[in-house]
Amino acid sequence: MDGRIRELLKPSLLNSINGLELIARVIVEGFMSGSNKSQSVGAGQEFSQYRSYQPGDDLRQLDWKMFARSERYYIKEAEIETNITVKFMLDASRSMAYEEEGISKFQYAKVLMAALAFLARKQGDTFGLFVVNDQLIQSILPRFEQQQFIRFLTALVSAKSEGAWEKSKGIEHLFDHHGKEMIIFITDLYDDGNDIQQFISRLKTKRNEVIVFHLMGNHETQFDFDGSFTFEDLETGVRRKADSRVQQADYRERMQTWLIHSRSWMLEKQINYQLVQLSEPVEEVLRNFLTVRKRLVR
Amino acid sequence: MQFAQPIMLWALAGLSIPIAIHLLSRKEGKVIYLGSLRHLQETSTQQFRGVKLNEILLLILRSLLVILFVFLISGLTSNNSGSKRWLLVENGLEENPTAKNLIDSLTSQGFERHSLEEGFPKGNTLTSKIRINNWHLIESLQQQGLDQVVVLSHSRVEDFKGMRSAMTKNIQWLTFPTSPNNFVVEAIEQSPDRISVRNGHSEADYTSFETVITATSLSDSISIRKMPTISIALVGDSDFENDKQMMKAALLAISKTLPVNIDLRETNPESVSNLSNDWLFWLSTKSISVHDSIKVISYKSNPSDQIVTRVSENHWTLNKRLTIETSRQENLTLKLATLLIDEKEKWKQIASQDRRSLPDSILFSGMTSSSTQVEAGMSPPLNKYLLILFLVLLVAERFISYQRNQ
Repeated sequence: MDGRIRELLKPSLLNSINGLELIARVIVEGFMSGSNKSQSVGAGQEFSQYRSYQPGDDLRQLDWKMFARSERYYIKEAEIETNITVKFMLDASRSMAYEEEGISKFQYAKVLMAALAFLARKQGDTFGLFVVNDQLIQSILPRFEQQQFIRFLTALVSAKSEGAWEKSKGIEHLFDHHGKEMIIFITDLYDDGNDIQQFISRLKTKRNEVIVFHLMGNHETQFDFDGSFTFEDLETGVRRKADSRVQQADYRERMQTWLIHSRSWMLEKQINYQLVQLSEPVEEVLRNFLTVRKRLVR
Repeated sequence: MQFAQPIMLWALAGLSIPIAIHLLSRKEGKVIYLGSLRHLQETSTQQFRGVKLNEILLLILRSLLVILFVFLISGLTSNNSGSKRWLLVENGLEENPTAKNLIDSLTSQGFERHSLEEGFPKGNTLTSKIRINNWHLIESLQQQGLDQVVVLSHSRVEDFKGMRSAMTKNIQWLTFPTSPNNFVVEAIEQSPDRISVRNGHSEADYTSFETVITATSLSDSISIRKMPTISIALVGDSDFENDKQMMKAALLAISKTLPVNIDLRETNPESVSNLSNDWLFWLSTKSISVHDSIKVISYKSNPSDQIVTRVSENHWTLNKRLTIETSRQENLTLKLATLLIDEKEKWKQIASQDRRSLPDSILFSGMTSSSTQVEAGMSPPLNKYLLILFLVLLVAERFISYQRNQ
């Protein structure tokens, strides 16, 4: 399962709209079909079931054609559409270019977003995209249109990871909340002076839901490079020579502290924090995520 | 500092090996891009700096090892060991090309240049023209307390006079023979169309003379002298008739051989008092009274080896009665000739023209002498210290590199 999806995650596919759509479709439909049915039933486009009429039911939901055939009163039920706005926000700073086993965090984030957006479209949700770095903020404002998904994918494919996180007032309009919305923010949380942390804090309001996917590489977390290497900071370009064997224990400890700290402060703010390892298959991440959400809904 | 084999210094190119190793190992290996270096700590970089320092130390040690090795094989010697080394050059030797080369190379080796003359004036002086006495100079050289002396000299026989001094090991005497010399000792006009020219030829091994009779003088440089005339009064008793004949024969032989006129007059002992001759030959047992300025040879029986002995300034005595045998045995003619003809000036002139050099066998009795000794006599090479230093550095380098790989 994992291998077949991995095969798809090639730059040639990832960098084309059709390819990205294909990947999203394969992930969602091929491997997750049936796993994300809406749990509540009611009025909607998608037929769910018939049930016997009980006094007090809305007469508008009576299926008269059924009554004509069977002379019994049936209430036609459909899956309830969620109709929320999903805002995808992508950290497009240079540090997202961190690569492990051929896949960068940025590419992984793109795939994850495409799959989530595919799901959202399937559920009939409105979704938008905000790709943020200090050089360019690309905004696809949430709309419910057929072309929205293609627009979304176009923006996603053309997005590049460069520069640092936007610190100036350029991101003010991202905080423009109205109505019920879900914000999915994919980042590596590598910020400068807590700017990403502040950004996330401001995103969260009482009415919306913020989900942060924290992408981390396996080697990055474990620091299991063997020997002395020169390490270069992708964003600042600072080089530092270090012996990973000497540093490993300290590094791991600091990394764990940081991860735990990140998780705890987000939980405090009721932000859904998802730590994603680059080595995890995308569909598994999605399934786990959705399973947990369903459990929450129940 | 100098090298026995400077060509070996090319091996210094080997320095590039440790430097290349250093540069290659310093090359930052794999660069790993991380999202952030926030979790990489200072402690690690400090340790890394330590490693770097080690590397520089190793580089220096290895370079030193290579340099020392090259010095070892190229035979580094030191000449600033504080030894006093002199180079003595006789005046006039600078023109000799081989001598000039030797002077240059020796002075570059740290020899102090002095002139070979009394007092050993420093530097390249061409002051005195006076004759030097090498035996004496050698003796005074030995008193200078020098470690090594190289003497470049013509070694003229003329310059070795008096007591011979023993040559010591620290003195190296190199002889540069002078070029052969032809000269005219004297030219005497025997008669208007007959000039007797005495030619001399002198070179390192010998000096020879030759008399040529020419009608005209060959060169203008020498003045033609008239034949000198020596007036002699011969006084003889009847007892000494035979002696008189012998004396006359000797004088005749002299006048025939040498370019000199002998004016011989026989007188009797009574008319001696107012003589004005140069010489008086007194062959009589009677006492003589004569003017002081007249040189006198008188007979006086004396058991002596010599036939003629000098008694005072102007007085010689004939010790034996003259017979054919005694005259022949005692070389009367030659003795008389040396007495009559004063050749002091001539000898001086000949001496100045003499070019013979003293054979090395006489100069160094019981000593080997060769120019190769000059090299062998150079200050001891530093090999021993270099080797010790090399080994110490090698151990240090091994130790540090072992430590570093830990």
